[in-house]
Amino acid sequence: MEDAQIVELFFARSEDAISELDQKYGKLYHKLADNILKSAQDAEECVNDAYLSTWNAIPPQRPESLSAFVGTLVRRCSITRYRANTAMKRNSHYDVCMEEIEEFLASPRRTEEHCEAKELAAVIECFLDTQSKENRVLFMRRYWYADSYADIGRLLGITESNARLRLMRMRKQLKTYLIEQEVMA
Amino acid sequence: MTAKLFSDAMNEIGAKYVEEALYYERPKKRSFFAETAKRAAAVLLAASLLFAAFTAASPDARASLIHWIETWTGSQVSYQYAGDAPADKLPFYTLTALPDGYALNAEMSYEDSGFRQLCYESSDDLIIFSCIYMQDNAFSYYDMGEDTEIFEVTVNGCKGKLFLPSDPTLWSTLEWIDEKSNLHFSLDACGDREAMLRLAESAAITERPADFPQPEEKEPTSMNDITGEKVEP
Repeated sequence: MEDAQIVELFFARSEDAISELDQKYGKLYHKLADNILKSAQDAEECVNDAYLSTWNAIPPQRPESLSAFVGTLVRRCSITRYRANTAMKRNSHYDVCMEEIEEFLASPRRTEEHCEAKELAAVIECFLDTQSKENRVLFMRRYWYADSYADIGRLLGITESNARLRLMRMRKQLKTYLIEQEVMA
Repeated sequence: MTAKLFSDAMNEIGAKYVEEALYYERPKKRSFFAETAKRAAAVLLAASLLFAAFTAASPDARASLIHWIETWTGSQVSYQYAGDAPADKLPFYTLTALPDGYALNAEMSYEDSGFRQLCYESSDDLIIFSCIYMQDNAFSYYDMGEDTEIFEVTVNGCKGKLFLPSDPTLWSTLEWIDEKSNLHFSLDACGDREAMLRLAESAAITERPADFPQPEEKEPTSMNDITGEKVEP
């Protein structure tokens, strides 16, 4: 079913909206949540919470991209749960993803505290626009979907080592870009 | 920059980037690599069957004549070795002609009784140099990626293969087998054919650095340690 038809089901308050959404994107959302939480049960609950949020949000909202809209809700819910769950420390792809970016972008000066997430997102988007499509996919797959390097390598048709190498270079470029944009000191 | 801020910012990233990563499909092309791999797989299947019959009939002879089987499936190549365990410690092979700015990083390196991987680090890149002793139950495995050309090469008189990706910014892999010392070497680095060969040919036995940790008491890498698709001959 097309995304627009699923959105219409939400507007019609049909419960088929959820089942159609789950049939089309459920596997993706479960993998996204599981990448972050490393727990099938927690992932299931987060996906269901995100579906409920979607049900409450549409209408009145009419997302241009249903997959990204619900995916963002799944990601937010998963990260919120992850942060609350200290027992998960150092036990997921997401931990490793965030550690590698924090290590690289760590700054002794805290000027970036004034930078809001939305502002930083806009700068990251501008940075991504300077990159090749493959590099954008690599970056998003790692830091949005929290995919493993092995999965990313398979997707892009490169070795796991080369996926690591490319992303290491991107992190370095991002750091330079953030400094140029005065987001980082 | 904190991980939390970065993570929150990623939540605000526009849908077009999320969708682009979701629906990405690699350009489809039939590479030289895929064709070669297909042919090689057929040949090696026959070689594997021959090997199985041979080792069953004459287990003593196998170590002196056949030390490895190379098997291809798609873009993956695996090596299964045969032979006795090393009598002595592995000789300490290092790269003696490193590009400027590279230094051995002992913490990122690894060693056990039959395998050593040295990691050389520069400010923004790595070179990985490995050698494995070809012995029973030892195994190595590479996923080469698909857009890769293969060249037959010779490194210090030893036959080997160079896997050169079409994107020059990616790592190339050069692997070669020294039958006399029963070692299989591999080198991962950025560089063209000449640079890779120059680097590989600089491999030489040197003294073990005093600060390099002693090898772990571990069995050699076996089939069971490998995650992913297992290749059956």
